[in-house]
Amino acid sequence: MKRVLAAFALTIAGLYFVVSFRSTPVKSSIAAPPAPTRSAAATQPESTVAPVAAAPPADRTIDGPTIWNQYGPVQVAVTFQGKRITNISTLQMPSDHPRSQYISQTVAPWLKQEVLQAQSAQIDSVSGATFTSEAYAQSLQGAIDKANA
Amino acid sequence: MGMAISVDIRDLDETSADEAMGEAFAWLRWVDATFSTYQDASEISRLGRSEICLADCAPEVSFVLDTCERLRTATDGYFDVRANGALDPSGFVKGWSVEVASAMLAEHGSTSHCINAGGDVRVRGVPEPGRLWNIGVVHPSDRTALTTVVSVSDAGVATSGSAERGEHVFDPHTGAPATDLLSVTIVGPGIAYADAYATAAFAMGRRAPDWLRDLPNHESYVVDAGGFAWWTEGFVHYAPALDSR
Repeated sequence: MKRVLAAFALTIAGLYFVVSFRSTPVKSSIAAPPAPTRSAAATQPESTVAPVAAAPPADRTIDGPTIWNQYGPVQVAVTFQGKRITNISTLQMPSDHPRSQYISQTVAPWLKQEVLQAQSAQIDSVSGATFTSEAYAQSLQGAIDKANA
Repeated sequence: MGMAISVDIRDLDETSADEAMGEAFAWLRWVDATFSTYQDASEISRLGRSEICLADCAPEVSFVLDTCERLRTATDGYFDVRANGALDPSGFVKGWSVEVASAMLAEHGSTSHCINAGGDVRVRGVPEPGRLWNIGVVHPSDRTALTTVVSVSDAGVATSGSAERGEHVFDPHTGAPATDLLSVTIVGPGIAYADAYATAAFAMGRRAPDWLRDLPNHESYVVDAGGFAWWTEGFVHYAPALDSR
């Protein structure tokens, strides 16, 4: 089974960036040893396969860069087990504006849900909430880039 | 604005998946470069400013605009590429590009995958033997909750709503933001039309149920501004839990 997560700009995009993060979902538990995984920036399709050791690698959490949008700073932290994303937490979200407050409360859980839930057995994917926060995706991308560096 | 696109391939080996993904993402990047209304140099932007004519554009641009015109007629004018003023076929392009991407994966032999582009979902086959894809539908007023779950195979699931990016769907007949409904979810055989129909139905507001009821091959689930849900008779086929409510 393959899973690729890609955050990039589509037709509604003002900024174009691309990342693809591929991993092999672990069946029932995130603590199980990961199968061989591969992660490659989509802009570098020729990059080589990165074999992963059989023993489960330790979790590591990487902070994404702080990205400013019109509402304030956005920053996420991504937890990897090997090359697999196991958690995304929000370090900074604007909260001084009613609209941003709403975004802070609602948007971040959705993308986290989308990233993580698709690896669960019950809900394969989520429809709705066309979350398009450029800043969130940029910070996420920055963390993934750092992890791949 | 950026958008998260996730592709979940369940059946290809590493090499085939790489090839399929490479092709699909090259396509999506091309679509973005051609149809982005946020890029001044895209063909659609230049066409909108009348700097070039249709003959100067890629043939896909003609195809998209022709299809959008048919959609405008089919939706009583509620799907309108000029609803917000400037030429903007995004309401069809997004779903269509994902539909094509799914077909590309299928050409590479994948009969089991799920693509999610900003909340619009296209699934092919089943995720594993013995069960369907379970697609949660986000609750329009509580984004951390699901309002229903549809179980589907070989289908598109599109949801149009207002809360995420402000009132971004406009009634092309009045020019005012559509406020009657909180969200419209449509399940259809593909994602291109399901997405466009969901956008149109959202703009229709209280007129939507009558129109959706008569829409062939597509089943719908609507949450109105009062928080009440309405669905077509056939929708319970995908969401059996609704039957007992």
